[in-house]
Amino acid sequence: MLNNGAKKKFSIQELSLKRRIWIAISLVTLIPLIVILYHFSGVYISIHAVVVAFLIVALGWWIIFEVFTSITRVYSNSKKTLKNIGEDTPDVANEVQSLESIIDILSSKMKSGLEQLKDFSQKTEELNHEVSRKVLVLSTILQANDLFSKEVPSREILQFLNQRLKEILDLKISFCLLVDETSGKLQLASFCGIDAAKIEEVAAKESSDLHKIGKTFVLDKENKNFPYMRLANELGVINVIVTPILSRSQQVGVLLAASSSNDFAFSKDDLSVLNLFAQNIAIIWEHRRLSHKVDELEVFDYLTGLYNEKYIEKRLDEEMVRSLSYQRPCALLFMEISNYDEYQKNFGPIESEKLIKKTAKMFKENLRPIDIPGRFGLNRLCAILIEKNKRQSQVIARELKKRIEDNFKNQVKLSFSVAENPIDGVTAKELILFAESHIGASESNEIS
Amino acid sequence: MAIQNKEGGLIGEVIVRLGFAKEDEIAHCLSLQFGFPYLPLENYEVSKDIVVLIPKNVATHYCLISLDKIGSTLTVAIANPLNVQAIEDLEDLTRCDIQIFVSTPSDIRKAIEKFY
Repeated sequence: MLNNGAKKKFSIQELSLKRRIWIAISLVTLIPLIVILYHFSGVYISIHAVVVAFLIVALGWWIIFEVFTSITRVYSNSKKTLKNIGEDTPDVANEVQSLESIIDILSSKMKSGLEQLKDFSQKTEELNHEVSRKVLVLSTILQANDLFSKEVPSREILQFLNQRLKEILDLKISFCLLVDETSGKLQLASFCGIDAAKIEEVAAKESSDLHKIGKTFVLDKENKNFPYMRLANELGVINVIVTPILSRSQQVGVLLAASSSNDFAFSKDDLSVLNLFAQNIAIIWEHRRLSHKVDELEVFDYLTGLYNEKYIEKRLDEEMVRSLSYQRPCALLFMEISNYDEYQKNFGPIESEKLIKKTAKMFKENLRPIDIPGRFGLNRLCAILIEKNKRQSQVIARELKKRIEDNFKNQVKLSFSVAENPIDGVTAKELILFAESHIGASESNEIS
Repeated sequence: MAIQNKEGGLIGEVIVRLGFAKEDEIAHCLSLQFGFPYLPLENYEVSKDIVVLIPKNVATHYCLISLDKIGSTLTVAIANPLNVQAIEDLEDLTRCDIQIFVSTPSDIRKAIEKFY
């Protein structure tokens, strides 16, 4: 039995058509010729030899038949393929000529198909680029939101957005100016690819123009009608895109990106990216504004629940007006945990916070309900002592010192100071300054 | 009392403002009731050196003025002689014993303006 390899080796199916024809012709012509030559040379040829010769000739004819059958099969398959792709079969009787025409049609089709494929791959590449840019824009926005939720300072988030904007638009510079709430002027919030001093210099000159730009303006090879040409010249750029940052329909800043490339035009996509960034900056600006408002409205210290510094100062001013009206004194008492750093080092930050809380609780409990206790800095508590003069306040301070230090079994050391209106100052600031500068000034138990 | 609650200030000043009594009448009453001598400051001359023993803001706040100093006793004219805290503050400030005279608020204010 022949194995598969041997079968393949002796199979004529593997041979080219030309070789098969040669073999067939050899079999059909050479074998009968040899038999005839033998016959005429007087050699006896048995009937068996004639039969074998006849079989070999038949094999030759069978091979020829196979060759032609394969050609017609190729022809018929090609016709079917042509029909499948919606093309008409050439009207030629000769199969070989027809096959040639079919091959021509198929090769031209294949050529145009390849060109289309090339176009498609180019478009796919462009789409991929666009998708990756959009993904980058989205991931930038998400990262900015993430930073936002982690309470990263808004200046750092704006700087991050600016950096990414420059990278995404592939430009030379980008910067953002935001309105300062107190001065109402445009101030540099973030920048990239340019010196801050340069922007501030340009912004100072163009501030009035940039304050109300209203809409997006573009300067590039297609847009020459740009109202801020002086700005572009000052920045030394050829292409500029500038958009307003709007919050609740009011302009709160400008976002600008620019490049110095010749023959450059901003795409619609560039504009939408810039607007998207401007919207996000507006959200950050609004958040920052609201945070400031919340801070302004906050009156309690988060840890102790006592009043915060800002409230104490405001309330002290009010109380001083009242005390003047009734010709009464008003005192401000300061208490400091003087060994706080050491305590923190020994017991850690959590225990130190607990200490502040406990001390604040005791501090409040040992004052009159009408007195106003507050927290002033990390390890300082204070109280506005209504209608108490310095002498009376010093007595209160000594009592507090004894009670609180005893309660903590002398693990805590307290320093005090007292300032009184009118003798130590006539404004809250003066009293605070006096009390702060005199706290712990004396090593003894004297309270100044 | 309602007006005092609304507008603030001392009850004596409110009574004077409403025209129920004069300032010197209130001062006389205080003098009689609590035994502090009354001193009209209208034509009273005070030395600058004595006045400055009490800072102007303290004098204005408590409505008082220093008049004289003999040894370690400082004589003071005050509108409200019952203001113990003011007296204590003066003792702490001047390290002196304080002798009190009662005077009218307007006389004291005029003297403050005149001598400081």
